[in-house]
Amino acid sequence: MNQLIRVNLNDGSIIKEKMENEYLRKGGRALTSAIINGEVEPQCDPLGEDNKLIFAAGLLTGTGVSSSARLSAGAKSPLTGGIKESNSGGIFSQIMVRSGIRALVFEGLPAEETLKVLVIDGNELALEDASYLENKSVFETFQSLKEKYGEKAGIVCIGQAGERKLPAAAILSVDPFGHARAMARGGLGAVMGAKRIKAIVARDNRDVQVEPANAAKLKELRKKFNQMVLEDPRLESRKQYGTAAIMKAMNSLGAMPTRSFRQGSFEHIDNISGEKLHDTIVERKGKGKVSAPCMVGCLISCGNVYPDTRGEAIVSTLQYETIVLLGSNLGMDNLDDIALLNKLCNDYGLDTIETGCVLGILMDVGMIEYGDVEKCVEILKEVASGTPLGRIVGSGAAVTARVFGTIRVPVGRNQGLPAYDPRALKGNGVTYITSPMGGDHTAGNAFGARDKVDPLGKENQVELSKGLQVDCAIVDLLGICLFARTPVAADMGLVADLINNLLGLELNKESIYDLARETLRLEEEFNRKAGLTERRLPEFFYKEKLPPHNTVFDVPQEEIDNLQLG
Amino acid sequence: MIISVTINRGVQVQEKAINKERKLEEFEFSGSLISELIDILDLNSENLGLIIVNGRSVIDPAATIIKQDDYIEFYPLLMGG
Repeated sequence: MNQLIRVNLNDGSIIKEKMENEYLRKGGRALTSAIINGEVEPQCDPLGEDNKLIFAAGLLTGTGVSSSARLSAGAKSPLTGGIKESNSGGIFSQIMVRSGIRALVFEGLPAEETLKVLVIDGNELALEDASYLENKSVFETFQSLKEKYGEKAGIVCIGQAGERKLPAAAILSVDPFGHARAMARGGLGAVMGAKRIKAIVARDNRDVQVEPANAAKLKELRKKFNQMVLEDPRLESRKQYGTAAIMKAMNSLGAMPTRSFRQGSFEHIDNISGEKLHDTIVERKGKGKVSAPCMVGCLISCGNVYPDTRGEAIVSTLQYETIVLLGSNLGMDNLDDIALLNKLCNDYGLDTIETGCVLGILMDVGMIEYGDVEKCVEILKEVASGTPLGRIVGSGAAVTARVFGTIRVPVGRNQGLPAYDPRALKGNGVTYITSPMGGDHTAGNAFGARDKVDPLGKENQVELSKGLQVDCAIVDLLGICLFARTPVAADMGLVADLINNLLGLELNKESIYDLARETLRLEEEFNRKAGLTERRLPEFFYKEKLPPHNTVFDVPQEEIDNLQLG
Repeated sequence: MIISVTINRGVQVQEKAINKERKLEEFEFSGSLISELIDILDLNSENLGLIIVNGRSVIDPAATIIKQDDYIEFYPLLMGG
């Protein structure tokens, strides 16, 4: 039986609900957004009693196809004030689904501030005291919970930033090698902190295992899907360089945020490129690794473990968004420095994108020198210890810019922008201000269409973004990695068959597209009721020319205003 | 005409992916289109993901005219994360 679990934090009760067809046919982002739209008061305080925090497996999770175990978290965001979904790899989702649970819904607020951990052990669920984890970092929490619940336990937790309910707080999930993967965006870690849930643990209990509707057929379809993943011509590049493969290209296109979005390319690109990352890992050996999977059974393995000069692991995975936002955006020309900042963000439970935007603002206003890694480390430690400056930084880019009196704030719908400047990749600019998710590259990244639509032109950007937003919603509801979207796009009928033979549904190709469009429509509806309707970037993107192309964001506002997603 | 060309790692030259970037800093080119340059360099166009001329993305290699001193970069198939 596939179940949805409701954890009521007002009274500590845990209710198991059989997943009915309406929720069962939804997964990942489609499910989190349907529950939020249907059950959460849009005007509620994101950190208050009426918000709900949902974790949902994607529709493909449990099929065993490559790259299909991403876990979605969803809630009303304390950062954007709108609906939010963020997802990551890790081992939690596969274990949860094996136990027959496809979603967890945390409701209400506890009367006491004491931290709790929800423990899933086969059919048994319990809210346990977690006061011993108070003020513990993410890696301390992983270690402590593994000692208590087993090395193979799936763990989702928050760090100090989440405990302090800071809007830049992420939720971290343990991967197969004990590293952290982040459901980073939108401040969902703060919602978890407000509900006083420090962690969720799924024990690797094999006594309870939900059988697929048709195991033999599922095996046959899985083989076909995985073969398509292996035959994708991009596979080798992803294995060797991961998401950082695009760094030099983005730099050449002049769309790579540099020195707090003042430039679109970085003169030290060769020191921080994907190739440099790869070669450094290979040269240093030790615990360093290229091609590391973030979930069991992933054939792509785009992750890496970045080592120090002695071969000891600093962080996993160092990837494009982080290298740019904590690198070129801060004038950092050294991968070791970037890796250190990435590690601290993971450990304190901070979104590296939001944090990179914030540190860039502090450099832009002259509070820190560009490239000053020691000062950045000090400030991140202040977030963990909760000083007033640390709390400002942890509140995200928009708040920090307001506090320091600058209008140069790189946000979309109040969320720090990812590593694609909207003045030189204009399709992404459209996504940042029209997506219900706000400034989020995973909601519709136009980089993949640079050979179809001129990234610097203003024509066709709105239509491009619209199509990409539907495609990304599909990926998010399936629980599959963006890097595995090629076979998904090539054969949606196969995807529907996989889901049907797992869950006993009768989906077809069209119904998956319909579900993505319905999800976007529900998300827009929620945001409208919540008052999140503005579709404008901050003013400087329209006025300040971005070198080297000296372009501004100039996609016609009327086209943007007329865009209907659902 | 003289142009500069960079062929990045992963691009297939003579159907084999190169594992070291190749820079051709003063390359003499007698043709006029990007598509001709691809043929002359013996690049596998199926494997090319991105072509950049002076920082601008090429939409149609068969319609893009090369000029003296242009800087042209070839990248393999890439996907944003």
